[in-house]
Amino acid sequence: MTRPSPAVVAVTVLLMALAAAPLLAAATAQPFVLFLLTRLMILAIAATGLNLVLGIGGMPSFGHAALVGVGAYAAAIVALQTGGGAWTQTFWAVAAATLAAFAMGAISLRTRGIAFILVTLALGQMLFFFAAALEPLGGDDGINVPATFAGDAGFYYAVFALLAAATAATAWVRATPFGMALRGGAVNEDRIAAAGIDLPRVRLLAFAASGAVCGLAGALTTFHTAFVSPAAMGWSRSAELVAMVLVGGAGAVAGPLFGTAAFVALEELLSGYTTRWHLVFGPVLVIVVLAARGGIAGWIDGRTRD
Amino acid sequence: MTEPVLSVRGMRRRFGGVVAVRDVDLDVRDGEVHAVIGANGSGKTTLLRMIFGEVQPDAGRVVLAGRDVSELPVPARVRAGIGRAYQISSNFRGMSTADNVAFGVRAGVGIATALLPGAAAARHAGERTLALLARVGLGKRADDLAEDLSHGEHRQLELAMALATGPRVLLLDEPFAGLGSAEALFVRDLIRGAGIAVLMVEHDLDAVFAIADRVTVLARGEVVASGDPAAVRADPAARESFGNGAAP
Repeated sequence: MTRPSPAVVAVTVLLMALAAAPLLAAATAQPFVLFLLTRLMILAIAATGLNLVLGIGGMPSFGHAALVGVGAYAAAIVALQTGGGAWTQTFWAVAAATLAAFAMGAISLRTRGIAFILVTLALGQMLFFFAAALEPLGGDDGINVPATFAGDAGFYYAVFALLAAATAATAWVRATPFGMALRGGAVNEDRIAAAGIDLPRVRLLAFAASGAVCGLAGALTTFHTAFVSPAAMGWSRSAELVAMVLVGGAGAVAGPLFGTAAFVALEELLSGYTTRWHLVFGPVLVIVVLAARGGIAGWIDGRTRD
Repeated sequence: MTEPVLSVRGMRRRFGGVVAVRDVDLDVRDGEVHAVIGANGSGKTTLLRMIFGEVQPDAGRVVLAGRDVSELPVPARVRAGIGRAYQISSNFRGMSTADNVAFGVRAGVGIATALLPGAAAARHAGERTLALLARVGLGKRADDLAEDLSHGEHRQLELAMALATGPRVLLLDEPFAGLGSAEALFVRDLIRGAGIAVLMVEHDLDAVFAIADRVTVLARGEVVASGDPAAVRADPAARESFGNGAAP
């Protein structure tokens, strides 16, 4: 056994803090904190899904918020049309988002670089406008969905367990031959092909798996807010997810959690002062990406190595 | 005479108005080292890339052990038995040398194996990976990062990576580029000792004539001479194409 890296220690501490938070919230009578932390964890699950494609696979997708949205809408449709419970909603959310991601990957993975960014962005926008056109589901305004969970601690812990599982799955996949091929492909596609590995197939599988995780995050969002709207699917939300992964540390196991925590913390702190808090988040993103290669996770690991 | 392992027929490729490779035929037999030489821009590397499938030819067939692989993409050609080492060491510098070699060892495994956890996957490919590293003289450097290797060691790693897929024919792009004489001697023995068909493109004529069983000379994309090294050395058309100074 090798010693765990400082970033792994840090993410463990962060997860333990999240696990203890409901007790603290109950003691201090601050239920809003739980709502906020639940949102943070759901975002972190979505970012973990994106990390597989963007961080580990080196594929800069700007359409992932739409995949989260597909999951959110699928859960909402099941709840509204069939009155299906949480398991049924989650199943269809994951299935729909996986399928959407498979299609998005099959089209976008024919391209590279800027073209890949634009194709994922365009396909994401297509899904966004499709959702906005769903008049029975409120169109642009979105629609309320019957609450599946009444904001109880059980839901908080379910989200927590899923985040921990997604984080552990990232660590596991990174070290498998599949994950190694994905990582290698991000560095040098030709070399992976020359090793006899069918990289396009590996990437498509990763894209679909990433969609599944994002679909799960979408279902959780619907459970959490009892509301769906296309606003959460647009390209700027996709860009925020990309920013979370980059700030946290692209490809790092702990990256999505760090990045999302930083994003939500800044949002909370700054939105108290101004609605234009992105004005501050933008420069922070630039500084982190330029100064700390490997994001927060890379910074934590690098500091102690010297 | 035995059937060739690799048979190339009528290879042609045009880039814009320039014909880079014109109707090239060549054969590589089992255990034979076949060297392709020629001046810069003579089409050597383009020919190699077409055989491997990285560049699509305008015309021509590639037959590997009786099987036409002309339409296959690179990974499928690799699994069919063509291995390739690169001129510029472009291995994965942030990974260990063992991980670099393991890519090829594990290629073509099923999805179940591909999703084995890291430690189990390492066991799965470990023995063959370590044997390959030992064979190219990197047995003690399995856990070192590729970026810590010297230039010569990178060439050795290149060979191990190319051999990792278990090829029947090995394509080598200037395996001697930038090597000192001792390292060159080591790589020469490695290539000779590989015991499989080798098609190499090379600038270093001393190395070529020391190692090759058969030499093909390209000039402006065409074969101007081909045969055993002594015959090519004596061929006036071949001598002319080397230009001054570099004559064998």
